[in-house]
Amino acid sequence: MHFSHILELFQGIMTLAAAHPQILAARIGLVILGIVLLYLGKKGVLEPLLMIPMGLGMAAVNAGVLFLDPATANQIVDGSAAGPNSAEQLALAAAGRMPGTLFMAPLVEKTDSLMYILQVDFLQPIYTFMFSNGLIACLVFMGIGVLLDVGFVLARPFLSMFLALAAELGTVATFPIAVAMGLDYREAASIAMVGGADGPMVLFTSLTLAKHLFVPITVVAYLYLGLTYGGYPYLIRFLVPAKLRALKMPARAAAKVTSDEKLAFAVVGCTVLCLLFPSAAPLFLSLFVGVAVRESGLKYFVAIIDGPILYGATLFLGLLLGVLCEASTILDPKVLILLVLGILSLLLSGVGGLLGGYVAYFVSGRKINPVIGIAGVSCVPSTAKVAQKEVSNVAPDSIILPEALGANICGVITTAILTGIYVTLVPLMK
Amino acid sequence: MKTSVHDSLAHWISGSFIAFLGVVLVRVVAPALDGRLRLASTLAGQLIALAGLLVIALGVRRRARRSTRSS
Repeated sequence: MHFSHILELFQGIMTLAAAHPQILAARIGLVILGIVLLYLGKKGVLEPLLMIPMGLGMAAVNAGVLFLDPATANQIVDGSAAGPNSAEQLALAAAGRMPGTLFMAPLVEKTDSLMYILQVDFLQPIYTFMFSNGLIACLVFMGIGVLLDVGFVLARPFLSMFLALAAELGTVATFPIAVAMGLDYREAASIAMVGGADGPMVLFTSLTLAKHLFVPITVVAYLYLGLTYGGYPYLIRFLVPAKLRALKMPARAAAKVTSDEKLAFAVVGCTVLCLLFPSAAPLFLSLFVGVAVRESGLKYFVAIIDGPILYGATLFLGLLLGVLCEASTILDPKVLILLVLGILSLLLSGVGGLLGGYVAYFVSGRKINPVIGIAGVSCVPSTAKVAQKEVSNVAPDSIILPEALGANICGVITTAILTGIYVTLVPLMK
Repeated sequence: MKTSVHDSLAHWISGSFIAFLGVVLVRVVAPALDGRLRLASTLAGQLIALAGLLVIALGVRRRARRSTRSS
């Protein structure tokens, strides 16, 4: 027995030594990044529900690399689409020297190979049956539907819809910018959706339009969405002077919208939107079934959707996103462009929302606080809370939350509509 | 027993009618047309459909404000 045979016990390290220097650096970098994300999640800087499983998954998948046994390696190479390195990979697979993990093999497509891998990789069933078909995004959206009170939208429909549309500036403007930067239409639409500030919709769009880039796009989206809570206050302070931030909204008696009306609106809205955009119908159904369950008073369904379904889906979403962040994914040269476009998209959406707030301020005769415009960015309820917090910092007795929530919730619906538009129209563009 | 939906029935019926009219424009009329006419018809239909939903929302708001004032 030689020393090298003893080293075979520590294949995580042996595969590092055998890796190309770029892959080696990327793997170590991702392990460190995963730990940093976990730390930031624990500290509350980023959303802990996503960052803790994502961070740990990222660290584990880049650490837990081994030389796959020939049978498994062959199934992965045979079952994936042929590439420029297929012959080399087959040779490595046959020799038992192909590096891989026992988490999942996302590139396997052929049914027979998939059935084999489903019995080997522990996260493969969740990836194949819940993630790549968009089910997990829809389950999260269902949970969001249960948490939404569309009464805020129905109480002030014009204002809510206008601010929500203004806050889609990033989603619309980033598309031509992304095309100008070299992305094709499908990739551009997928990264532009980051401006909608809604994770499930970014995941749904990128899975539909740009499957080869859905991992970096979705990871970028969730990272930046976590940062909006930290970054948007500065945008508000930069664009809205303290005197305007302190503006008190005109006092009005709360208009009571009944559960019957909210339920009827959900039914009509869901039907019309599904008819208009059938490619996004899974998202509309998921959102409005959550609303319908809530307004019907089905407490047990609300408890299931609000609890195990929403948080279970969120846990596995974070875990899978982290595990999908393998070194080879991050080394794609388009990732840097996505990092820039993602932040641009969210920034433009915030600016658009505040500009919409200013328009509302002037049109209402200087009565509406322009800060509520930022709530049109559909990160529910983060942006509404950010708006209220910034106003309370300068005027503790000024309450803008009801109007902000109306814009916030309407933002979810307008982003879903934009998803439908992109998913329907972009495949027709040549 | 009269429900809140009954109170603004005109808005519900007209809003739903307008919304489904927009849907017909998008799903039935537009596919039968070509080029720019098809695009214009699709966009118009989508806007009309969303306007129908807005009509419903306005009816709900009107009913809610009326009942808040009367109470």
